Amino acid sequence: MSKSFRKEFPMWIGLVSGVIVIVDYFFNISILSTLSKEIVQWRNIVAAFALALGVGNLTRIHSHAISQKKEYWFFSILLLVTMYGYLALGLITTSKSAPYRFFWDNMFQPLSGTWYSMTVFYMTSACWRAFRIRTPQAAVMLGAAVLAMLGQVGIGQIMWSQLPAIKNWLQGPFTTAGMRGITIGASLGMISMSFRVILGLERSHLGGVGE
Amino acid sequence: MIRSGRVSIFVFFVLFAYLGYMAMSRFKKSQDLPIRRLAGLDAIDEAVGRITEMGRPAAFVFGNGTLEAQWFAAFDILRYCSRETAKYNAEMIVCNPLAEVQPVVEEVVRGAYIAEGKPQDYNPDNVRYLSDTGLRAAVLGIFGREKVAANFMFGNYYHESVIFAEAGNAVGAIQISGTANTHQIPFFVASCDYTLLGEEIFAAGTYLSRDPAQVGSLVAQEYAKYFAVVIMIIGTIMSTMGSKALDQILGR
Amino acid sequence: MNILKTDIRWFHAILVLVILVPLFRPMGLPLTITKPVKDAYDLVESLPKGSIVLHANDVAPSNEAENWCQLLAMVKHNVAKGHRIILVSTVAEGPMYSDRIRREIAEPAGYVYGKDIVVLPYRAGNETAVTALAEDFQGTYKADYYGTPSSQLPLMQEVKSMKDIAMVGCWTSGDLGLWYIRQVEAKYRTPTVTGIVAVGLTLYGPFQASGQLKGLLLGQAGAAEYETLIKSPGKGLAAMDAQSMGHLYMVLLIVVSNIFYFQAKRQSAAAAGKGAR
Repeated sequence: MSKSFRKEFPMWIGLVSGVIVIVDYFFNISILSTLSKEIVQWRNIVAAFALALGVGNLTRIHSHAISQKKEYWFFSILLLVTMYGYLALGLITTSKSAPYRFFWDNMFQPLSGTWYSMTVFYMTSACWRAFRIRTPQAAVMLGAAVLAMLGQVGIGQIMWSQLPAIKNWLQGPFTTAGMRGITIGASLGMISMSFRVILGLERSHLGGVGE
Repeated sequence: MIRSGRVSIFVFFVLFAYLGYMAMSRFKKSQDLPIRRLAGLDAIDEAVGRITEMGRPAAFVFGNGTLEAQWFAAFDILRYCSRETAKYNAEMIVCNPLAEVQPVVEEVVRGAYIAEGKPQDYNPDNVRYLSDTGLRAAVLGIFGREKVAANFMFGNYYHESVIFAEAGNAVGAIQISGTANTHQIPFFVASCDYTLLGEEIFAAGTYLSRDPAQVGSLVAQEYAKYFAVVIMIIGTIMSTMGSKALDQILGR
Repeated sequence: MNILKTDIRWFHAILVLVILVPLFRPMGLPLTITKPVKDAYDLVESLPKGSIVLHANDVAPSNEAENWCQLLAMVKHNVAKGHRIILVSTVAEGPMYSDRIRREIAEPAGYVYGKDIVVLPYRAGNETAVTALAEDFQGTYKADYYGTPSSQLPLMQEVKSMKDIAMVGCWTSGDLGLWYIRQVEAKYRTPTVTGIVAVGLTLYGPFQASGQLKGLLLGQAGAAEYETLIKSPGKGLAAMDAQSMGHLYMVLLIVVSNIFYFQAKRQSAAAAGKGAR
């Protein structure tokens, strides 16, 4: 497959499917609606199949680590055994079976919840290390953060009965207005980026030479 | 013919496309590209210099969110970072949580090495798919084992932003980040050395490539912002006076 | 001793104690009901018996602590009002939580599966999945989570489009609410409420302020407020004291670290001044 075909073909797919979906959004044309729905469904199918690519990448990297006996190579064995074992369990017994649910409820869920909970320890570290008043803007940001954190919970109400009202006032005009501004700017940036991708002006995702 | 409730959006869409086309045509002929300095992107060179001196790798970590425009912006920055690390014979570990972009990420990095004339230096084991649930543990492990000296975090970030920023700080990495997710911007601003806010990450590709066509779309984006501000001012005045005319026009 | 160089793990250990103690010895701290939560409550209250409510359940183990409490509280309210419930999901774990809702809340309250409640399977694709269900609900879900064809589920036959849905609830730590605002609320004007993790205010606040969201539950506090309104204390309320103490601890850390930071700065400036002389 030539290099130019590898770059041009995805661009054409992007252009045609992007134009169909956009035109369908604005105009009620039945053939375009049908095509648009199909494209959306195909996107979902491709995303599901992409998981196989991820499995392939993990298998390659960790097989390499095992064969080279790199540091912590035994964890690579654990990863591959767990990944393929659970995959086989799901395929053979389905995701509604008792063994599948057992591992899900007693291993995956607690581990996943634990990782999310780790955020609080990193927040503690950030509170101690990162939230320093180095500039006047940082002082304003920290003052607002302190008021919002205390106003959100009951202890703040006990410290000062007006804190919840101050928190709501900060969150109302200030936070909402500020975030609206950033959201509008970011949304326009997304529209611009999407235009460039659909029209083929943005080619970073196509990789290859010819930068 | 146009679906109900989308006429005003269609008008805006057409104007935006026209502005973009006019700006692209203008900047194709001109060498004067009006993009202000983005400190975070300039700092990438500093970061690559640091990793080369210290002999430690850099990490490029994508956010854990869904595939959307921020990913494409992050690809631009990844391409630049990859070219710089290839140029100085440094190492960069790319951490990807989304399976569907794994081939794209591999291709971007490989293409960068080829563009620098060093295809033999491309190591596919440095472009790692880590899955969305495994991303946090895997990245923390990479930071701890490899002792990364620079941490680039770009894309659709959620709560993992503060985890990675603190972990990067714990190993002494210089940290450059960017996201359009408003809920994570404060964490990045507080924890990282340089942060690109909101739309700045979409301008990053344009800033780094200086491609006139891309600059044109950036200019159209700026004019669209001015238009939005004018509409907001007019809308605020009209709403204050009790008029819903603008609501009705924009709701068509 | 330079306190700024203290091993951070000491602060982590103190944090664990600060959060654990109130969980075992509740303090009964007060709780303010905020307007966005009250608006969500009023919306559910206003829906007549038999209304069809769609809950987009993106609860996963990572956001279970916040979103699960919110969803439970609202589903309890829906069940108390006799609303019919359809549960969909764009994350793989979502249907398992939906199944728990059916088993633990709906069926014990006398709900008949297929007639009063339906659990639909996970659909990949994120916003494109939401687009698909908004444009062709019955075409998107040909069978439910348990494999029963939709044609055999009376509740599914009643939903021809989003106009047949009285309310949408989005329970997520990410952009799910935005997808429903764009694809459902903007097109069909279906009243939408969202339950989001606490930092989601910056993301969803503008939509709540503009009226595109009819209600917004923020984090565990939002769940606690909703549980208070429906007079059914649950996990949200149980954790509020611990959350209060955690917030207070974080604020104290920020204040103390800055005090020592400025002290260290002054000392080094004084030392530099002496050295120059």
